[in-house]
Amino acid sequence: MAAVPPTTGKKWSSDSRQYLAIEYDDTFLVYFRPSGETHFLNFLSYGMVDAVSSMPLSEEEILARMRTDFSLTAEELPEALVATTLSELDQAGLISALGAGA
Amino acid sequence: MSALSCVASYQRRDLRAALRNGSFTLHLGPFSHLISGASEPLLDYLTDTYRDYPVELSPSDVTDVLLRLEAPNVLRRFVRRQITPNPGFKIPAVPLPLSMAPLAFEMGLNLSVALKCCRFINVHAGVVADETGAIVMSAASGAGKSTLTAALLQHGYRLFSDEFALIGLDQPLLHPYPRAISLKQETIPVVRDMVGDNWISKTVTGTPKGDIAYYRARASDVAQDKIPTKAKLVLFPNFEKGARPVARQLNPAEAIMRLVPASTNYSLLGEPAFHAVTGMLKNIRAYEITYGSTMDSLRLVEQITDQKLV
Repeated sequence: MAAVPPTTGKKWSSDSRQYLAIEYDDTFLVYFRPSGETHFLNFLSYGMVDAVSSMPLSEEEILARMRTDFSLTAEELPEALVATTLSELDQAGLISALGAGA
Repeated sequence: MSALSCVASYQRRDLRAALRNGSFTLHLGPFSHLISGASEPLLDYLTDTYRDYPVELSPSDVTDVLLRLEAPNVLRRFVRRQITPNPGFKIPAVPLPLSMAPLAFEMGLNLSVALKCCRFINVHAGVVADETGAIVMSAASGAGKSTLTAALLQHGYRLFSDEFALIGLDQPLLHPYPRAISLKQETIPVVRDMVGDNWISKTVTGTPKGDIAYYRARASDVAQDKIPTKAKLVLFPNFEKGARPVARQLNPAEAIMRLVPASTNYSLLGEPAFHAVTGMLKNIRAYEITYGSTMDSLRLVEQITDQKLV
């Protein structure tokens, strides 16, 4: 797996007007309007997109939020998994970093 | 539009003249097809396999699909005659011997509908239906889709299509487009045994896809080509020689993610396509089925639909 660049300090956000999501048994089908692509997300990935739609959050805040919302332990949800998922969501365009590159 | 006569009601010479003039208009399902290219192999094929299809010998309205079956160059009109489908846009079609006109015709119609039709979401799939709804079967070539489609037709289903699930954009209903079923290689004798020799066209041998024959659609299926229906089941058939029959239920989202790449215009149509495909899957089940015989595939469909077939 490619190394994930550290995102500490960045705030992530998403715009709920840009996507449509339908839930199917803990998975989500997400249509992203800007790219016209349809994505298949698990509950955790969609949870991150949804969490940063109401207010921008840092990686650390997202990690804490996901562990709380889904009752996951540090072992079940390690930091590296969140970092990788954020990177993939960023590549898909579903989330973006505020002040990226700053 | 007033009722149209079928191909079989015309004299061969009139059909030939219309094909030569480029005024032969075949009506089927939601599309009208303007066809040109008179050749005896094509006439043989149309008067046999397409005998029950409504046709006009001069178009009374604009048409949806234009297909010219023509020689690739002047020389090949006369010497070692060849034919190539020209749907009005450039396609990488290998010229075929004139005897393969049925293949050029079917291929040309498939390309036209797959690449030019945007009134529906096109998904590469077989579709059959009964009074309770349609079964959509999406699979790669060689996975047994056509054989299963043919088998279900012997058990109370009507043919919608062997190639395209046409999903409406306004309402996620499936629209019939019951053309002949394309049979390749070893599926030809299997389906011939199932339906009888009279229903299968002459085999076109040595094509780039191997031997090909066509299973003629029933007149009753052609007559119902304007009656859409909702989907009741989505299947992803997978024939494997000697395999034990297994059905695995799929999460609807996974099923949709498999249908999307099987569509030629999903990305082009964008958000309406997302609504149509998710609408079609609403409240229905999807399964991947693996089997080693047609009988096993029917038993699996029977179990899934809770409907006696075999």
